[in-house]
Amino acid sequence: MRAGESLPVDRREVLDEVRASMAGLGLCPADVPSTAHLVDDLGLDSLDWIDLAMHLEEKLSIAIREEALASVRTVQDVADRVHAALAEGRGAPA
Amino acid sequence: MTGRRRPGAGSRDVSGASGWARVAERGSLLGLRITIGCYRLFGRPLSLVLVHAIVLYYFLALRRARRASRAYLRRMASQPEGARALGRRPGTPASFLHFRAFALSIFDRIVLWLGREGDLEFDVHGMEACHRLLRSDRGAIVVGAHLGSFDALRALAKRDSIAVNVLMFTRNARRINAIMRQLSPEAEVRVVEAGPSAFDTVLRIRACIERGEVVAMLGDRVEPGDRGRSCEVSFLGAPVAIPEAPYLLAGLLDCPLFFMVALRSGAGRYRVFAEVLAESVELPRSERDKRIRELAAAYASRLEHYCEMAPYQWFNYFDYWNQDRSR
Repeated sequence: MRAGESLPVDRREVLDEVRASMAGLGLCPADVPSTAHLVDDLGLDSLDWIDLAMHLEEKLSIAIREEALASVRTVQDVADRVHAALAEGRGAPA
Repeated sequence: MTGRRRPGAGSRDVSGASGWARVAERGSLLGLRITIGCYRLFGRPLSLVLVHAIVLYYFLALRRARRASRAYLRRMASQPEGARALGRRPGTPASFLHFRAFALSIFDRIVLWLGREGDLEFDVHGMEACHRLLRSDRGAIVVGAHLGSFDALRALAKRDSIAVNVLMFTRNARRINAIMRQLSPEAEVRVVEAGPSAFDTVLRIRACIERGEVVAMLGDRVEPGDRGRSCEVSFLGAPVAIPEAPYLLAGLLDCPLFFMVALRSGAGRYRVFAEVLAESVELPRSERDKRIRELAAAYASRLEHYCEMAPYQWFNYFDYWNQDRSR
């Protein structure tokens, strides 16, 4: 995050952050519902997905666990994993 | 809701086997088994006689592959360096030599997998520069081709104590690999299986790189799993699509990118060439496509150079320049 920007805290903010990051993959954030399947609905492949995960990790200074990443299917799943990683970073239960 | 479509995405058959897959799957198992048995029983010289008989059978039986071979050889002959390296007209005898080179490559592959690396000799060039860029917490991506022997990389890894993981489209190679596993069940075969939408494949690659290991992949064919992740480069005077994945992965994982090829220079002898394609790959999103095209063009240029050094060792027996039509 840039200086002065605060980390997203609640699930809604995290979801918005995930959607915003999808702009870099050629998607329009406003067109991405939380229930969208990354592959079937958005046409993402594994390289897009690792790109998204690493972008979020870098931007939010988090580390998403590999086992958590492997089971991601929808946009909401991504937001949930990011939310959990942020909570871990703060020392709070996810 | 709208999904994103890349140019070319959706035009490729992602469910069926490629033209090459159909060729490779066709009956190669029996020939391979006979050769292995013969090698174990009679050793190298007599087995080579048998290899030539098997090559002749496949040369006569695989009409499409033969046609593709001749088309490739004609293209190679149209290049000044290539014509010199071929040393003959791109006719039937040259095409037979092309088939024979593939059989000899498979033969040496068996030798490697039987653990008899001592039977082969490797003359290695350029590895020092690659070694200097490897760190304990950051490995590298190696991009090779269906040119010469990709398996020589395994021997090199053993020699230099480098952990190498080979990314394979295993549906194509399943039958050959089954035999290899039978030959060498105790060997630590580190194969990362690639497949369509395989999110965990990329995670495994990332883990390998973070452990300081090498992940090797073939960069000359767009496999069904690549799903439109390809870019166009010039190769032997005509445009061809090659996968973007090696360059994108090197950029995302922030690691060096090497090119490697092992060319058979005589009976049981190989010259291995390793080059640094990029010490690090930076891919800012705004310039990603441009940078990937540059790296892919650099790869194609080096591949062309080595292909002209060993024109009969190009092992793509399908209409390489019209891949969509040949599938």
